[in-house]
Amino acid sequence: MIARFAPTIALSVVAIALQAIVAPYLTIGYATPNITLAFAVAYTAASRRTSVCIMPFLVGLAYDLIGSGPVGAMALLTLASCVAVSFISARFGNDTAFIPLASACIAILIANILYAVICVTCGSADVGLGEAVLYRSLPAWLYDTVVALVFYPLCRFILQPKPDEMDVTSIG
Amino acid sequence: MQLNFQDTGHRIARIIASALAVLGVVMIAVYAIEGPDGPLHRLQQGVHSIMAPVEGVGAGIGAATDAAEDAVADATVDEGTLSALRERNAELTQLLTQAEEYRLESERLRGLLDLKDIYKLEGVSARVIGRSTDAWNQTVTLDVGTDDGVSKGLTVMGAAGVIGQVTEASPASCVVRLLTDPASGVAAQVQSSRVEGIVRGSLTGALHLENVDADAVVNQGDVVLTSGLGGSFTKGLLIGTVVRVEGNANDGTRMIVVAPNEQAGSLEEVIVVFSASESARIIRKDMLGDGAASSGGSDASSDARVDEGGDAGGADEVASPEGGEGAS
Repeated sequence: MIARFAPTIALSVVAIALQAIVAPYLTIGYATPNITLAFAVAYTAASRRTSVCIMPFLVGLAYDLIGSGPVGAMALLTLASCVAVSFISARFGNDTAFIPLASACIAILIANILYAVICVTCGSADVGLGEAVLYRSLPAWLYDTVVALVFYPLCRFILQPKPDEMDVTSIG
Repeated sequence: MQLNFQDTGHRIARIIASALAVLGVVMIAVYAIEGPDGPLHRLQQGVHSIMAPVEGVGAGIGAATDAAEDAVADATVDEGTLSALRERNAELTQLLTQAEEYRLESERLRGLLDLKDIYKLEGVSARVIGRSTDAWNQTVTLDVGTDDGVSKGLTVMGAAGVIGQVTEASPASCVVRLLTDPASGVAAQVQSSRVEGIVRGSLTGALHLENVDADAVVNQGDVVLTSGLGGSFTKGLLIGTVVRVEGNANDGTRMIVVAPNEQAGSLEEVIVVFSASESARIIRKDMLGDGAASSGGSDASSDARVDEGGDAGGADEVASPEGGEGAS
């Protein structure tokens, strides 16, 4: 069981470590990459046949705890993004990467906008919503999307099913 | 950990996802309602203190990234024409870089020492070991904590002025919210006219002087200091200089933009201020940033109280180019 989830756990830990250690030094303009969100969404898009829900919540929660924003906000949004990507990929996806990636891109955008709404509502960012979206959400969306596109092929490679796992349905 | 929506796991997956979503909403609500000493805030601070030593590694990674970029650039040059010269050049460059690093560090530390003398500061010097991991908060992590006497609410200064305030303190590290953070606000006053207001950060990184009386005159080049009102910041410390005054004061559209004298990106060493002498509040000409020197023309020099001598001993004497009165 542990071995089955080992790649997911390892990748999650790496994503969280990258967020804590490397992300602050990758700031471009107003945007700092949200590596945890990008990873979780890319992972979900790459896994296709399964829906992931605990891992996104945990990496999102890790983002909240190592950052200074409202605890639970990114956990909730990462979870919602991944569930949405999973659902859309399962419902509308064919064997191409277009639907998963397109849904991932849109999910990241919505997550960033909703995060701005939460920050403004909770008073974490003492600015107007429009300003928050313009100066933070949109640059962050672009950056996170690029990071997700980098993660996607890596996740696809790691998650490609072995022949004996092709029809396995699992609950973890 | 992974749930398949196609079979019996479908329902369980929904239940888990729903439960986690509810948990997320509850956490957000609790975080918003609870004070800074609430359980979630404490948990966050605990994680910060655990992560503080790890965050410093990032600086090395940043340097390693730069080195890798240089290596890639070097690799594209023709090997034949360089060979021995390149090797020698690399050696010399390394030495020069090292010497330059020492020089810059010495300069920064000397600046901090000067500042300590000028303001008669009591405090502890610290290194910046980490930066904000998200785009929404402008914070830095320092390598000093409660073991060094640092506590929440203390003012933090760079070599040229106030940079922020300690918002979290753990035994070995502390987190400083920078003035440029949108959630940051400091009671301030314009040095020349004694006009009071509040300097706030913004998402663009600029500082805005707000809550200024409509009839107050603020000019480009005016020096802005902490006023000490509210007691959250030590009084009389340099914040920056007014670089732009836009709009009209009478119709409420006036926006006063203040250029901070410190940029977060260049911060390496700072002082956490325990106390500053009331009588030593004075601004030396060389402490004012380029913004003050280049903007405002004569206003910049005439409005600022300038210690031409530049030594701590002359701190109590204020030289006014207009022959006006001294420090208040």
